[in-house]
Amino acid sequence: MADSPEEIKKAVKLYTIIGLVLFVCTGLTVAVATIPALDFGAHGFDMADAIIGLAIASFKASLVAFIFMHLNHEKKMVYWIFFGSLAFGVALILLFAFGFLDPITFDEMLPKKVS
Amino acid sequence: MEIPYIVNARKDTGLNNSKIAIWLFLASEVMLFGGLFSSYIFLRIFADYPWPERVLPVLPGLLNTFILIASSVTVVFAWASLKLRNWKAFKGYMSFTLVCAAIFMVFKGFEYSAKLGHQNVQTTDFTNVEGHVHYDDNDKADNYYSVVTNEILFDLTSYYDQYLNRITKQIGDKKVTSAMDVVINDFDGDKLIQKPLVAKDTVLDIVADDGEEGSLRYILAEAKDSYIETRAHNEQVRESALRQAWKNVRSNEGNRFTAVTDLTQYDQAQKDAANEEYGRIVEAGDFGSILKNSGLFKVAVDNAKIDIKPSWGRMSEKKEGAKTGVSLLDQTVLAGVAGDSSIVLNVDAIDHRHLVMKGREREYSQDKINAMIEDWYANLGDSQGADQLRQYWGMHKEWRELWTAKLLKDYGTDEDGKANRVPIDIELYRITWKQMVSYKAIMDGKDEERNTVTLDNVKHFEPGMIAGFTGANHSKFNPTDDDHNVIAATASFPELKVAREDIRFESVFSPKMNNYYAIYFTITGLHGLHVIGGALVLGYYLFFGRKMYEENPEWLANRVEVAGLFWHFVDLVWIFVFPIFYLM
Repeated sequence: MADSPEEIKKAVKLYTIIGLVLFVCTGLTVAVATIPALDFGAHGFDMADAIIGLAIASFKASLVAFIFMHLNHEKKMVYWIFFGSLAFGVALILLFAFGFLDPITFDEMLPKKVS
Repeated sequence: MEIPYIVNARKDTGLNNSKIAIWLFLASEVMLFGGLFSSYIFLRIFADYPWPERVLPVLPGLLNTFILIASSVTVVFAWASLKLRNWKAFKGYMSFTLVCAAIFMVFKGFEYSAKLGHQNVQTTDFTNVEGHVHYDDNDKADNYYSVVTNEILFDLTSYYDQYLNRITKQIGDKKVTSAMDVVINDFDGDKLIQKPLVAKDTVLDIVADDGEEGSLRYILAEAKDSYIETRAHNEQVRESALRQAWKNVRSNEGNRFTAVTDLTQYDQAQKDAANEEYGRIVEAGDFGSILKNSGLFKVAVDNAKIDIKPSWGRMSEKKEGAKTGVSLLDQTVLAGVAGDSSIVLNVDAIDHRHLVMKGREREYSQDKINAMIEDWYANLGDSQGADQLRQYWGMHKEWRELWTAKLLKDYGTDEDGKANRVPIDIELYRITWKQMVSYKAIMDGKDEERNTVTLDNVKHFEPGMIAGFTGANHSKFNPTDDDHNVIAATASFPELKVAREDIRFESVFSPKMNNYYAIYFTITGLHGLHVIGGALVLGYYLFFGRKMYEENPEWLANRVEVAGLFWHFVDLVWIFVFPIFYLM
């Protein structure tokens, strides 16, 4: 982490740039969701749009975590704590997959796709 | 006591304690929000209704994203200012951060208030009608079960004062009489005194409170006391009789059950004997008599119109003129004839997607589904608003033909001749508020050169992001007269009356509406609380940090860094909330 005045002044410049990148990425997320020419995959919202939208969001989140939250140069223990919980968080998010193992829901109740 | 390692790092971890603590806290937060996002995905994938995708107005969400990013930048600037020992700059950046937090919450407030003031009515064929409900005399949404009441049955132990007050207020000066004779039991030690409380057909004062003898509230309170005391008395009699019965049976057991060898039979025989003995003892009145006791009080009302909020209870028959009963949550029952309980709303969107989905589930043909939609419009009645909605639907059909053709022209067909891009259901089966504004402008010939339905004309008249900052803008597109009544001729959102018996489900856009709004309010609400919490901590350092800064500036810098880590996390969560809820 930046500690000397020179390093901090340098870091402030980096924060400004990262802030601008985050602004641009936000605009980009809205653009791919609203401008027809930037509509990936089939017409309307679909998996391709979800992947692109979440990829941009993940990129933005990484910038916040690594630069603003100083994860780019932290002590080992912080990595264990944060990435350990992130692994659990991701595992939680993937729990929905168990829904597909339910034979009743999957075979009979799963609604026909309405986009 | 001095807390160790608040500025300097511990040798084993390489970090000061507060930093370890905040990261452990953030780890728990990751899992908390991870679980909620997991719920979102599950609810969306397995939803049994068309998911409300891309329905939230983008602008407030977008602005809030910019605001949070900006505040994240200024919070690190504030920290850097402390590191550079520049108190003035710290104050400036931190103040800006707090202003950002305040603006974020204000926008959130606009959004929530628009949702909670927006009504959805789902008719029995699964068509959803959205709009603003008319207001009643008290400036509340006019959404009531109306019943012309001729009888009210109170449950003495559970009647609720607030409901009673609303009911009596609406009865006004109509006559209310007791529909039954009520005798109460008064227990003076073991001595029972019975006295009449009210005779049938006695006129009751419904205004006076329970201190005034003969008033409705007095009778309810007295009858309630008597009921509870009598129940206690009866319980005591029963319990004593039952104890005595078993005592007698057991003392006789040597004589009466010698013939029984099977244990099960023995058990049953003993129970039967005890019941028999109990009956005998009660009959004999050895422990006093069991008193007759009713927990209900019935009054007759001279046909008073009473409106009840749907959330207070249920109505059995909703059709106007039908004999009906409304049972409230406190077990009070209003009996009478159903009044006009219809919901009148200025419609700003019509959505047939749920109907279409249900039709497809039942494997109906597309023609049949289309016919069902046409039926819905045909049965709207002959009001001016209904006519306007039929015209909108006609124009919408024209629009979607043109849109289908455009997609075909722009994106062509695949090898099998199938169009590469076709309109999605939300375009085919939902008339949005923006389209309504356009259709109205075209219908009225607002611009002589744009008085037909073309893609260009519809787009031309569609309001922009600012006019629809929080959704359908009624104040702009449904102008009102001096009495605040919508002027029908210029209204883009026409008035529609939906009879209560035609309503399958109605709700404002609150968590009650569906799983989408439940998870939307949960995640954004929880996130909002984090914003408030973070702002309070940052505000504390801004307003009360001067002393700490003067004692040990590095200490304050560390505190601000730790609070800043939390603030960045709040931003990080919003970075996912925004695309997931507003854009997908």
